[in-house]
Amino acid sequence: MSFVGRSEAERRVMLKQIGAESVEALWASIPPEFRVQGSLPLDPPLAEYEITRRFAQWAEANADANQYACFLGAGIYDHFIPAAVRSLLSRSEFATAYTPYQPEVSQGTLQTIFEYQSMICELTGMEVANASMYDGATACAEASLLATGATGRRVVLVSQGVHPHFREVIRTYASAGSFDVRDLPLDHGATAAAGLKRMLSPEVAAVLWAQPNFEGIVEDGAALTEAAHAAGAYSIASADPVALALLLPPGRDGADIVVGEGQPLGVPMGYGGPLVGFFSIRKSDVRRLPGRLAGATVDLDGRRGFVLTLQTREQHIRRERATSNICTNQALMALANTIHLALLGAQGMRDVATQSLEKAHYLARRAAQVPGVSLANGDRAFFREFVLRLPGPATGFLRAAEKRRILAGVPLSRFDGARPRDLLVAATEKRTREEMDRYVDALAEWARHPAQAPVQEAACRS
Amino acid sequence: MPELTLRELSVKEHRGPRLAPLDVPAEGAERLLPRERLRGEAPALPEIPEPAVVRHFVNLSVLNHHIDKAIYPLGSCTMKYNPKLNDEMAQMPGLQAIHPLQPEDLSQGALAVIWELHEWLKVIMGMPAITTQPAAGAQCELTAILMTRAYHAERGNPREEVIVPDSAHGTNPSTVHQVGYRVVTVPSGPDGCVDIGALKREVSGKTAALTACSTWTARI
Repeated sequence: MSFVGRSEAERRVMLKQIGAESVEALWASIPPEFRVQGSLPLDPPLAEYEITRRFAQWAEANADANQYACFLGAGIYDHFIPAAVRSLLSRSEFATAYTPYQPEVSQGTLQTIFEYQSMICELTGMEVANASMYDGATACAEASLLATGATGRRVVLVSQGVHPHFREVIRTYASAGSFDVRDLPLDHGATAAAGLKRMLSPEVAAVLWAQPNFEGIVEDGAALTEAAHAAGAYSIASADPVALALLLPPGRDGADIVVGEGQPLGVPMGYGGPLVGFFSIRKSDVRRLPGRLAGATVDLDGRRGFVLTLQTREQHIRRERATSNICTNQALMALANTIHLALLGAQGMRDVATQSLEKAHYLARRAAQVPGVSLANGDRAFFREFVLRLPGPATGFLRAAEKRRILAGVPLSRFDGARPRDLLVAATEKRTREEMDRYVDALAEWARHPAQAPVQEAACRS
Repeated sequence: MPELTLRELSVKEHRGPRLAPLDVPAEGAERLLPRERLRGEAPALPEIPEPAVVRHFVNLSVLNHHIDKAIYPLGSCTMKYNPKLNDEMAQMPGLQAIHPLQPEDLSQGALAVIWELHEWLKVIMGMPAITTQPAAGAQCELTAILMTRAYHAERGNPREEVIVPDSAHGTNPSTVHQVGYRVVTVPSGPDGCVDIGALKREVSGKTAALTACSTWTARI
């Protein structure tokens, strides 16, 4: 494909118009030492059908969720995505629009952002949501920065129930010295209330917790928030948006900031990207909000229109005094969230959440009946994900399950070497009873001789 | 007439795509979860049938200017034409319906794509190593300045200042500030390039880095 399909004759006309003798002369102002001599040592270009063939080979070298029953979760889930999401998202008018700096030619994008923000507020129980963030992890880091800025304190207590990758990102952001991170321990999978009370002090800017948390456990958001507020700290929740169709939203627990990963709302798993984060706050913090915000207004003739608003917070105006360095939103993925929520609607989202809950509990109940297998967190309430404690290395069971076309879960040894027998298992509405029964059969067979199963650590190394 | 909002289009009990009936015995959310953790009513999301949702978004989409319609000569980031093949390849189920934590030997296609891209970008950039982990150009800058800080800190002194040309994108000073450095602005000369004399006067033992224009670290 050629990006600039110009004939020699057209080139001559253009050169004449701008008064240059040749293309070479046009570039004469660039000193020769800064120019690439010759061409770059890259492979020659391929024809479209050759590219398609190569990508088809790559696609075939992956185990995808259409061939395997996928019980992997840990923040990225295999939920149903209506065909209309992809169809609408692929429209050139959305997919190839520029950032909406000129509202008069961006009303489509701006209204969809406004609708996105409204629906995020409805899910989280908060008053204001921004136009989206890169992902859930950076949304947590930015929420920590907001809370430290607002309180003038520098310690953020992060529950170990927050995704381990999110915690790494928060620590990376904190490594610049802007705040300190301390871990809040878990007690049987839930954030330990006693531990929290001991760690709270006038230095603590925020308590950051997840709903449900990384091990699938439903946290007591009201108790965590009450404890944080008693110490003058912010309560920040990292919430799963599907769970919020069923669970009390953290906003109603009194949380000050509710963020999360939007992938479960119409975004394919995509080997982990692109993702999209949501970020919602109370109105009183709106001038501290990172990122973009779309608002409704009226034009000179009184007609409704949409604009980017409160831009004086943003980097292109305020430079080093901006609330954050973020200068965009994850527009297309936020649009996927918007279309997905519009299609599924109130009842559809409630159905997805309820079926995921029921199926996860069906699988957990049956799996825990296998001799030697138990639920690592006992009878703690969970949503669509739970930790199985196995009679041998979890990686061994993974290999056994793969033979039956099952991706059985995420071994927690990946994050904590002290937990070789723990497996994080998720079930969405897409998993069928047949798949789950097959899972339990595979588990029962493997559990009879768990020590003999092949253990290939390399398969699960991050 | 302006397009209505989803909320205005919503009519109670309208429904979108349905799920298959639950094929396991229903226990009920009230039995599986503590009552005080449930939200009661479903969230007040729109209730609109699929054809009306599709028309709503198509009507909104045509209000946008976009690169497939005509060029868009605006931008600190530029909007370029992307070959249609790119989207088609990225949407292959074998590349799209895959989980980031599935075993590596079952993800060889995805890893090969990332590796090939890295090899090409290394040649184009003239650099020996690369990460495509950052999600946006501004996050690339953040990564670069955090690496700068880590580099100097490992040598015993993280230093205090980062020099930013006045022609740099607004994200540059904002990022520098976020990483805890003082921004030192250097002016541009009449030719639009960084004033080298002014730059030499500003560089000192306190200088941690000079930021180049965001295109150096931009999203590809």
